[in-house]
Amino acid sequence: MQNRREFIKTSAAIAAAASIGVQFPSKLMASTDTNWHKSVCRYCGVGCGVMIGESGGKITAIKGDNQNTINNGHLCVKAFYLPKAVHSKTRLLHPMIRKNGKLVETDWEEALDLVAKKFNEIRKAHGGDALAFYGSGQAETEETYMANKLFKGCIGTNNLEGNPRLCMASAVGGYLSSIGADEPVGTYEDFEKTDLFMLVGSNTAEAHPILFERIMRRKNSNPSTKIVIIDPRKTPTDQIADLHLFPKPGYDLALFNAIAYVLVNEGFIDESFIKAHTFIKDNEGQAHDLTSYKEFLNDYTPEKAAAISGVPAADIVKAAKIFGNSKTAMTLWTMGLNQRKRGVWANNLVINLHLITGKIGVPGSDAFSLTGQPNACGGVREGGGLCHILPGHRLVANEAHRKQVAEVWGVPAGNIQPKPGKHTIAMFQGLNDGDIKGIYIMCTNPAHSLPNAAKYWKGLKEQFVVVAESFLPTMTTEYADVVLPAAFWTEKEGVYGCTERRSQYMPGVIEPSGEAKWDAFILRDLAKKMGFEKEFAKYETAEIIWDEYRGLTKGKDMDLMGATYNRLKKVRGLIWPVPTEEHPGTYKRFTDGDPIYDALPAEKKKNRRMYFYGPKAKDGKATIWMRPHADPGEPTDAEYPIALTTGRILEHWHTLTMTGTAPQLNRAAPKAYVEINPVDANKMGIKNKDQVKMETRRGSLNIEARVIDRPAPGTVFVPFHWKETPINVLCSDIFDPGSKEPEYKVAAARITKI
Amino acid sequence: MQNKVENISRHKFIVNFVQLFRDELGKSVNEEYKSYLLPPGSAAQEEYIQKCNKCYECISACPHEALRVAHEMNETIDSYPIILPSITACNMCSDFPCINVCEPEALISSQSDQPLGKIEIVENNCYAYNDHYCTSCVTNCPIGDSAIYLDSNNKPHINIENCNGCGVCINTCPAEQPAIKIIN
Ligand code: SF4
Ligand code: SF4
Ligand code: SF4
Ligand code: SF4
Repeated sequence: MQNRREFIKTSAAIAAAASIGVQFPSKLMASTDTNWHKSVCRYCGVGCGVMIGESGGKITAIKGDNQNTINNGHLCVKAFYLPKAVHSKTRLLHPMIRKNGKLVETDWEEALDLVAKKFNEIRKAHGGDALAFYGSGQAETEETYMANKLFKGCIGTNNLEGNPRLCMASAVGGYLSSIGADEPVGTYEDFEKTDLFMLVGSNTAEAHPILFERIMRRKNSNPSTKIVIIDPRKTPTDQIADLHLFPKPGYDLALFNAIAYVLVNEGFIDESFIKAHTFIKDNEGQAHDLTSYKEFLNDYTPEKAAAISGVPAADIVKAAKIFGNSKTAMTLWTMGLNQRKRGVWANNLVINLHLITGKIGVPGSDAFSLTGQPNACGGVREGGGLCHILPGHRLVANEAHRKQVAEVWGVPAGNIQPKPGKHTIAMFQGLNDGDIKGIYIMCTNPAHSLPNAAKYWKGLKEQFVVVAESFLPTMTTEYADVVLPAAFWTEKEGVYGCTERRSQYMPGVIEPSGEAKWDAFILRDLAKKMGFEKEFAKYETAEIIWDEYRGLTKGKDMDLMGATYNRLKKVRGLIWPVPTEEHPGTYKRFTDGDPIYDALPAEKKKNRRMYFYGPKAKDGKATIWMRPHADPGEPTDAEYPIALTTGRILEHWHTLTMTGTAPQLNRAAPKAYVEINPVDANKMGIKNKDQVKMETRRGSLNIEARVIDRPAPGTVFVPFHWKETPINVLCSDIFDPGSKEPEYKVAAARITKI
Repeated sequence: MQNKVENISRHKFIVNFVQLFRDELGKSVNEEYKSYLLPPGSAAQEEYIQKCNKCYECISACPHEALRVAHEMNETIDSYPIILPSITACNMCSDFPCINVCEPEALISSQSDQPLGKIEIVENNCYAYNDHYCTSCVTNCPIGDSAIYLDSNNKPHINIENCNGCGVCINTCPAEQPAIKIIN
């Protein structure tokens, strides 16, 4: 119900929209009986604020929330079509069980009874570690929290993972080892204050479009702002580039060291910052001084790095000088750094550049990782949704941490295992090998998205698979024994935490479609049926779950005590640490204005401007790492001479379960293609739109060629969205030994014209 | 002539075929989308319809099914081959199969560098002009930046000099109402 004032306001807004000629039917049709609700975009890690238009129990329109400082009312084209996903014909409306090879409709009772019975049987016969959970950076924090308690706290297995392992684990490892704490020091606010954006392995224009707009606006209003791109592929992001370095995929570690070499030798470093704020360590963790760091860098002269990376030495020097000469600098990176066999090292080497120049902890300077999914940071990195961590930046290996969490969960401390469980690739290998006999998959589509995907279909076929999903079919539901209909965005409330440490509340504004239920409640009800009645009795509302989790963040570096539902419902998110309900949130961590830093005793802050107090830091210091260059896991060779790299495009999201419901988006980007540089295409006699066969050691597929000057010669690019052309089947599942994140970004391939 | 007879029957067949799906087509081709492009190698519309004998050989020859018979567009162009880029754009094949099969020389190679139509952005309907980040047209234009480009506020503009009027941008544009139109 609207009151008169709101009525006039909406009518005026519609009249205004009409007068400037906005003819988006959904906007116009969203007439006066539309109720607008403040929420967050369902898609990417930018975390744009949206206003959801709801009318008669249906979502009728989406518009940008102009009070949200992330996006100031702007959205990207994906978000515009979200209402179509909510009410799509592909929504899963009823629980289903596989009978005689076919999924047939059933009721909740039978479905959950079956899952509980099967899981209990497996647990009894083979132990808790024969069960596993695989979740998502798109699940709400509350949902991941419920899964964590059920699996780690009650079933007693740490086999709990989520798809952020596939995208952000290297950034987590990089941050933890370099600055002692996960997630960036600053926020998006730095975008409007910086003199240089260095974009590394990030097609910001397509993967984080609204942030790209902010970068552009910064450059427009301040034309001296420089943009340097390091990426093997030219992308739409290049429209604003001042300089673009094209390393061969997987050969950029030497390049980062060479930039450091130039910074060190041209006098761009901040020796007093280094002295007061950092350790310098080699790969074995041995401490070194600046002199031996300089010696180490002598192996990475621009000329040497040029020979390894393929980037001209002059360009390396140029990039380094731009970085050195800029008063402030932001490095932004995404999957190009993370999805790598040495992703953690790559992250370390990039963060090094900021540590040696002191370009961190001041307005406009930061080493800022862009997250892909809307709640990878909030639910999984902070919420403890991986096999080695617990809620609130805690570790399963830490006895005190286990105790704290067990106490809040009301389970015996011994329930939580001290040993990390199986990481994602090991988990799906475990299904293949039969070590894991039952898995619960929530809000993600691993049969499509895993690297070397076809290899892991075996285990999904053979073991007991439960999939909680909002859409049917997906490649993963093909293997499901039980499919549970999950309420979708706008049908449930909860919290998403985006790239910049900001937690935002999303309301439930319509009833779930069909018999769909909220994931957190599905897990709760399953837990009860498995015998954990007592442990899960109290979770009657989302707020109860959030409050319990919030309590676990008290006094941690990611303190969310001040972020109550009450408050979150009013504000446009809060940026932690936010220790009390009066606290406004924190723009910069580890320095003045950060409540945790401010509370430190004066002697700790003596002679320094930052104190890295994070869980992995010692003496408040960050670490400059002497990481050697390393080649990718699967270098090209005579047999497979082309480097295959994969990624996202603007119009689509992941495995198309959502964006695939909008015909307009399908028309804009209807099918997969391989981008081939004209030089390579000429050599191979391939013309635009020819069908070609792509092969790697893991498989082959036919795909349309798009001859275009985007990937550098020797490299090809394929977007991963379409199940008809699942490029991930061809991707390498070699993973980083540190972060366990697979190397989607480099595989050796060959192409032939059909 | 054997050939002629076959042409007539093909002509009839295609006309009937179009009649048959008239309703369907009518529905799918939104009023506003009713702007069309002329086939590659054609002169201005007036000359084109004088020369074209409606053999529809070009339609059969097009490997991308970009050419179709105009209907309910306007009296002048109806029943002549055209391109409806909202359905299928022209691939600008380097060997122009459509031109090669055109006997009456309504389509000729020497004119293949002429744009198929004049393209214009409809700012009222375009996302980029209305608070949404969208770049599908620019990303997908086969000519690249020189034909359609983004200004420093991410709004697309067309450079008529370089645009060949292939209609790919129209085909990919995800806007709900046509955000790129053809000025005939
Ligand atoms: S940039 Fe990301 S969060 Fe913002 S509207 Fe687009 S998909 Fe949604
Ligand atoms: S150039 Fe090719 S795609 Fe275009 S009309 Fe001719 S044959 Fe069809
Ligand atoms: S702008 Fe590009 S895609 Fe659009 S008609 Fe012109 S050449 Fe074709
Ligand atoms: S694709 Fe359409 S809506 Fe998007 S920017 Fe281009 S003209 Fe505008």
